[in-house]
Amino acid sequence: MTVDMSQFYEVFFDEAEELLAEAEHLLLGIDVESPDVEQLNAIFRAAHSIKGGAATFGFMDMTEITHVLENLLDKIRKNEMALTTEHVDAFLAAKDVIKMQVDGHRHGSDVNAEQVSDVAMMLKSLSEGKAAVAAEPVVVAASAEAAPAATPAATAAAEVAKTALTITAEEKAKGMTLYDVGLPTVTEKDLANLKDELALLGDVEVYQRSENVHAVLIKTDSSADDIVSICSFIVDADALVIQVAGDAASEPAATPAEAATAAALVEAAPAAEAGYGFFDNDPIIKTETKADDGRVQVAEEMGYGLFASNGEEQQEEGYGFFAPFKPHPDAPKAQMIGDDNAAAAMAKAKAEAVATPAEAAPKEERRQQGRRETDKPAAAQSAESTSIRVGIEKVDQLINLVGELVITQAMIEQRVNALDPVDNEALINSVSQLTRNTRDLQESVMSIRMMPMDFVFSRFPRMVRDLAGKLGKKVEFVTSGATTELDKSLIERIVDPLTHLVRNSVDHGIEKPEVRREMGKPESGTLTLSAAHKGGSIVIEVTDDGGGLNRDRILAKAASNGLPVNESMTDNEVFSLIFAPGFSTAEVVTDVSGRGVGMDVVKRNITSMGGHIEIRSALGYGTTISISLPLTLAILDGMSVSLGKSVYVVPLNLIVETLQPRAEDLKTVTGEGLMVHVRGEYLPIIALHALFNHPTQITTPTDGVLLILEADGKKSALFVDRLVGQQQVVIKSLETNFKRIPGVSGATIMGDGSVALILDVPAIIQMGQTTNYVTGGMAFSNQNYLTSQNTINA
Amino acid sequence: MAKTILTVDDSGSLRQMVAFSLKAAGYDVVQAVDGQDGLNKAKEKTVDLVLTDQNMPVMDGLTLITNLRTLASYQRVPILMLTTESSDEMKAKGKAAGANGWLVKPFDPKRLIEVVQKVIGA
Repeated sequence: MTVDMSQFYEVFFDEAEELLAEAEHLLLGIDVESPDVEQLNAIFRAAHSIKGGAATFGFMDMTEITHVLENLLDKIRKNEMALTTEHVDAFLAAKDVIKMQVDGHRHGSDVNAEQVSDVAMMLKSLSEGKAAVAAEPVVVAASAEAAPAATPAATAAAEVAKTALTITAEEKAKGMTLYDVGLPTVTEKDLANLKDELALLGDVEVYQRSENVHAVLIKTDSSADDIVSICSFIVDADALVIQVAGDAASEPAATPAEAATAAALVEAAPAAEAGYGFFDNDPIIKTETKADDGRVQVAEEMGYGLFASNGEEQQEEGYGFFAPFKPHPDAPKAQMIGDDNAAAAMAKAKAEAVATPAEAAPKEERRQQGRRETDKPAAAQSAESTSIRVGIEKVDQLINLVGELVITQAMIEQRVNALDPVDNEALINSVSQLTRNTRDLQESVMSIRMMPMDFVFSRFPRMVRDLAGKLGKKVEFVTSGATTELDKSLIERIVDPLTHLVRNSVDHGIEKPEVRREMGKPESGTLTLSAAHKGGSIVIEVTDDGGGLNRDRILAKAASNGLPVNESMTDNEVFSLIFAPGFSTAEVVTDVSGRGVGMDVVKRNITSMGGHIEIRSALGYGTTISISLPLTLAILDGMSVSLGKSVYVVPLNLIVETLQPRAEDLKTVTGEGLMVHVRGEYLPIIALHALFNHPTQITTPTDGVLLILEADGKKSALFVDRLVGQQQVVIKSLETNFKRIPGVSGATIMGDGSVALILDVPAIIQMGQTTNYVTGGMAFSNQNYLTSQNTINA
Repeated sequence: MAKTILTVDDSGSLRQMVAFSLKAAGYDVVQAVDGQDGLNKAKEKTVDLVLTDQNMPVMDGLTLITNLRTLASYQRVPILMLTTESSDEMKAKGKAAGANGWLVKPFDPKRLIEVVQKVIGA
């Protein structure tokens, strides 16, 4: 039977990436002083699973590095080695390398071999650094030759005596074993590679048995299976002859059982099993044949062997049954291994001894360090069994269809509402039921595209950690609201701007520890990334407790850049200056330097998502950059307003209030045009009909309605005829269906089937300013205004 | 009637590979994502063979085996560990928990089928 493994590759890649992300998350949250055993286990499990998958699917480069990683992690989780920050750094570096390898296999991207070997070396040296046991020079014998019959121990001893690698009783007690690995004929290069690979497991020495015949002595606490799996990258695993090299010099006579086992293994070695076994004395799987001499008989099948409970199972390579095993009548006869209860007891005792340290380690309350999470992402563990992967285009199609349905439903509702409520009571009830169902359906469908902000947030702990390390700063990174959901397309587009903001905060916001100390702040700065729902929007904030923005310096810089500034500008307006293109350059004073680099790009990105950005800052206390985004790009909570015979939709989240002005509140300001006095502020009035050159009967603000709009920290009053009503509208792109129109962000189909344009509020405020500026407020004043329309009371 | 095999592994790719191979060989396959899931599924339907990973979240393979062996219906059902940990300790623990054998990962699908056929027949 052949199985095309490639069909599982994608699943494996996805899985590996998820595991890597999870491992990174855990690593960043780990408390080096007193690591949580559960966390270590989970990290170990991730490395372990990736290794297993990589080996199964033949990605050997990944197997190698995960193997080294796993070994080191295993030592740490078993308390054989204390976790240090170097370990965490190395693990993170290994994560990057494995990710690179995954990408390499998946997308054919470049894999930096040097980086891979560097990380492997680093892990290896860490692994050896504290675990290597200094060997005492003791003469060792190995039952070395791969001859069909067991070689007399003395001969082997004589051969191996030439080598320096030995094992002491003490090391043996620690679970170390000295293996003698007979190799097939290999090239020198392969031999060198093999030595390097095996060195990952423990101390290695290569010696020559005869011309072209080499063997390797390896002292390790890994099993023979591990040796085989390592060797199999380079040589044919079946050709390996692995034996336990005893310390025959001190204990010349191996126990009869050992000798027998060794002998049997030697016999069987060329057909060595690589992969499974059954346990002896098993009441469920009964063997029909029983070894009569306590010797090992190894199956002729490739890769499995029956396994006596004598602790020598590692001799088989790969699988085993706990015998006596009764093969199924249809199955080929299986073999079994002689029993050895004493050894079994020993093996069991050893197993228990090894198991305890990790399990017994007290579970300390995880000290929250590095990353504090106020709300954990939903358990991803079981997500796999309860989720399905669907192409995004299917979801988009579904959303479009629901959008159409919502429009149709609105049409029906409108028509029905025109009917006599008494005669059509049943129909009206049904339609209101339909309205409710449609709304629920819409919400459900929209939620498919929603993803938790954690998808974005999860990349930052690592970035902040690395960046802070590079800059010599101490930064505590805190997130909150990571479960807040946002439309997938927005999630993807928010990554870059947020990265920029977070980087800026670490780089330019948070001060160096010594500066902070002088200012009486804690040495470690805090960077908070939060997400929360606010009305129909999601608000994402990047807050640092760093130096804050210096208003005076920004003003000075803006003035020197030729931007129109004056001292009476509000803080908000001043801070918004850093979003001006090219505002900040290298020569800008340090406390704001960099904040402007690319800030115009950040702002443009946010604006194109239908969101807005604002800055709050206090000099010496820190800065908060607040991004507000619509929950989704597909649906908008809008206020429909009428202008002449048309209806326009204004995004509800940008409307501060609506009012009908009194004549005495309207003032003309030279150079600014007509202003309205609202709650102590004078706001410029933008006449939509003038802006769009749209005919209407209502041209006096006191006859119509003013919508107070706020975007980008600027407020304006939009003058329209009437308010029509508040409703959810499905956004249709005007650009893809028609062309881009300044001041219009899209279109929608209203309940009556007519098309309404959705206003692009930030653009309108901008346009209103320019218009007023250029015409000097002429829209309402004498010529333009009076010639075509009525007078207004200015 | 096709024999049913329960395969328990937290790694989706491996589980799918195992399930695919077993199905191709004519077995019915029940999949479980961890020990607890495996135990629940084993209770729902008594299977003919259990293949379980060791290292899993929620409940590991050894615990699953121990738990299965406390069930009357699982006294005589063969259980094999599919594991990358092939140390003596692990095997001793596996045996003590009540496993009947082991198969070391990585393995070739052919090998898997061969072992399975040995235990429960084609």
